[in-house]
Amino acid sequence: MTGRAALGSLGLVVLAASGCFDVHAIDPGPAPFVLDDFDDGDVQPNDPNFDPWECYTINPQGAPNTCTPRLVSDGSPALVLDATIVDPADGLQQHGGAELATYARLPKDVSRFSVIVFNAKLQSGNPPISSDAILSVEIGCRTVPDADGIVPSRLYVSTGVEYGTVWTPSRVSLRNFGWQTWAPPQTDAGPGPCLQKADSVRFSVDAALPDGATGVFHLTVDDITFL
Amino acid sequence: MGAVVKAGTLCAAVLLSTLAGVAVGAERTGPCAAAAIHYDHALDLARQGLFAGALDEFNAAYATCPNFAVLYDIGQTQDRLGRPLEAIAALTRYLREGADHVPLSRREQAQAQIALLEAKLAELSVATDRPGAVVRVDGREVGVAPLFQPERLAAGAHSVSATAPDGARLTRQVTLGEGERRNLELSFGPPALATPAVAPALPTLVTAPAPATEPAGWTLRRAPAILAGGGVVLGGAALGVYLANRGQYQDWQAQNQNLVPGTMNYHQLALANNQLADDLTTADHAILGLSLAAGALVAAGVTMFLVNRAHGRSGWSALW
Repeated sequence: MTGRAALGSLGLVVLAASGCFDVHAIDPGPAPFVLDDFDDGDVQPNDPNFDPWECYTINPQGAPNTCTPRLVSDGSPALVLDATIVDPADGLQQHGGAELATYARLPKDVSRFSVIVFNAKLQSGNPPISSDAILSVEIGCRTVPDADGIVPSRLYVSTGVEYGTVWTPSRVSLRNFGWQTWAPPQTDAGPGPCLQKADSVRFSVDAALPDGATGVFHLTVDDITFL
Repeated sequence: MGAVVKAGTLCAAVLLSTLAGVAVGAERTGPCAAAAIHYDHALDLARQGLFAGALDEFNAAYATCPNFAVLYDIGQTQDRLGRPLEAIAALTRYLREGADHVPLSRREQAQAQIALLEAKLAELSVATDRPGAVVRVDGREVGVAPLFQPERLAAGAHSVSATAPDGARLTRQVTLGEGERRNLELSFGPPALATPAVAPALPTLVTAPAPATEPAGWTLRRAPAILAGGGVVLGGAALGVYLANRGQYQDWQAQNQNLVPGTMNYHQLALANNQLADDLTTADHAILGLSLAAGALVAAGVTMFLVNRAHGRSGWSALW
């Protein structure tokens, strides 16, 4: 009996020492960073480090392209970019377009986030843009030196996203972002260095107009959040 | 763990009573209609803190229309009234009668509560120098001397009496603490003998007088059982902690599997899950500490037992 008792007590100790609850902490990651949900009814992002949203036209230089940002209430307040793009009849497709952008005063590290989520819709106007139009999300990092060591640089990482003519939720992994080959950085690393020093977020539309064509589009974005 | 069981106890009158109420209320015909009235009245009394009255009504409800779920309420009420033995009996019967109808989480909670209640019980070993004496505790006959098992009692004051075959009676008052092990010796002294008409001639013997008491020997003889008993109590407490937290562990596992990085509420859920993990780690440490202490006490008790046996005493019965 004493042998069984001793064995029992030993077993109890071993059982306890082995641990009853096999638990472990997990990395909760950073708290969600809501860049802008536009619910406050203005074009100032939620983070005051970022300047108000603006729009810019892209390519070609000297073309009579126009863009205007405005707020609409489409279920909830959202930001709209109205753009008219002209591809001059010069025998070249210029890939003109426009973008919504907000620039930060100080770089922000977004590398700890895993995805950027937002809602967007891209609607053609009259005349329409090409069905091959491309919507991209770009994260700029001017304080990262480019291949020539120049700072501020024009560096950014970007990725294309799928879109629709109605509200389409997008969920883009930050690992999918890549450097632009025409403006390489000094580093061979992935998008990490740029994500660590992010200083702008841009939603860019390449209207993909054929040579000599004119197109109108409306890009609407909302609820831009890093998770 | 204490908080869990305490919360479970406090909520019991509401949560389980609701379940039981549904069960009773579902059969409001015949005797069960009367039981439902008793039951509703019991709930009202319990909500007002009138547990003695509530217990009467619960018992009446169960007697009128036996429904196992009411036994849980009876157990909780007995617990609130500071009657652990009765609470254990009711909860044990609840688990037995409810069988497969008791939800797993509720079964675990009831088992944990039983373990905790048992850990709080005191044990009183009563010995007398009159074989055949009837021993009573709080007026209840518990056996005839010699008693071979300690009596499990709730902590608090108790009246212990022994009535010898010749009618002599001794009564002692003892106050027991939670989990305390106490020995009580009721000594009547030598029995009165009839004086012989002629005293026989006795041989002259020179004998050393037996010591009246042996405090050191008494302690040594009983120490193994005390140590082993303490170990068992601590082991039971470790088991109680484990059972009380097993539900949380299952919650943690389920939440952990459902966490998807990059979702809107991931950060918040992950923080909550980590908090749960911290709580479980604390419980794990408590279990480890209690188990190690339990193992050490049992091992010490066994060792002392073996030493005692090597010195001529044999068997646990020699300890008492």
